Amino acid sequence: MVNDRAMVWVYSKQADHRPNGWAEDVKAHIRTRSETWSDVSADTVEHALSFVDALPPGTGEPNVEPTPQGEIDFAWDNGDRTFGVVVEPSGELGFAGMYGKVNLYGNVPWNNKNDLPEFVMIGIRWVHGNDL
Amino acid sequence: MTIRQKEDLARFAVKKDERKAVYPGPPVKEGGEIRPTREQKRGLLRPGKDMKLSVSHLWELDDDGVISEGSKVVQRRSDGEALYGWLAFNASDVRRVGLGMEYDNDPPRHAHVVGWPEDSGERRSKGLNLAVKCTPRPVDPPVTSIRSTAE
Repeated sequence: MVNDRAMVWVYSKQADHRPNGWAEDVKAHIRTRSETWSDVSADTVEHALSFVDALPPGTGEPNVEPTPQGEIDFAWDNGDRTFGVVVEPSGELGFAGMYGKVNLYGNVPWNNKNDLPEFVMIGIRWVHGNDL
Repeated sequence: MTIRQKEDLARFAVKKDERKAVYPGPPVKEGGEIRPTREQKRGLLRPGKDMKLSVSHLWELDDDGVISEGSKVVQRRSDGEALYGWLAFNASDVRRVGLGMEYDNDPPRHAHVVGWPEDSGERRSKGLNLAVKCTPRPVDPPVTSIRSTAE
């Protein structure tokens, strides 16, 4: 279990922030579909768009869905390995993944929109097989 | 009334976008089998805005009985389209992942999975762990309920 709100290490691979090829399509999908997501606020949409921009190059295209709690859920599914990030209305990020029987989950604040919290990066790397 | 540990529960897939939780697609190879991933099943296991997940209690129902019960859910839900199948699990699975059961029998056989955490990460994790314990039961072809239009 990882759930330490006070502890945020940021991923600082500052040299390479090229957008992913699918990013504009996913952002357009979020903008368009969010018009029908009655529980999702405009602020949450903005946080979600920033999250897409902050994902490192080489990240696979996520599945994006709203939750009944007004959050936006990003999921990467790689068979035995799965990881997802929940963008909350406050901008906080929840994350949870499973790798075989190993669970990783927690919530972290996300203040610097240019970088992702380290725990989120760990999960994304895991689900991609550390290819990032 | 409480649910005994081994009693079976179902979460029905009644919308087209819920179908992937029970039936992600036909096998690519003859004789092959495609099963939903944990992530696909988790999509059907999200609690509602009230932080409760509606399920049905299957005590003493055979498969035909479960399909009949699922068809009632399709009719009850305003967004119900057809019965695509269900995720089968039991009350002990729910408790094993740290969630609880509330059985209100309103409508008959209705129950809630409760105890979902407020923290979205932990909530998501519990959904994944419950998904691992669920068995997908597709209904193919889907059962379409005929709604009464007589008012």
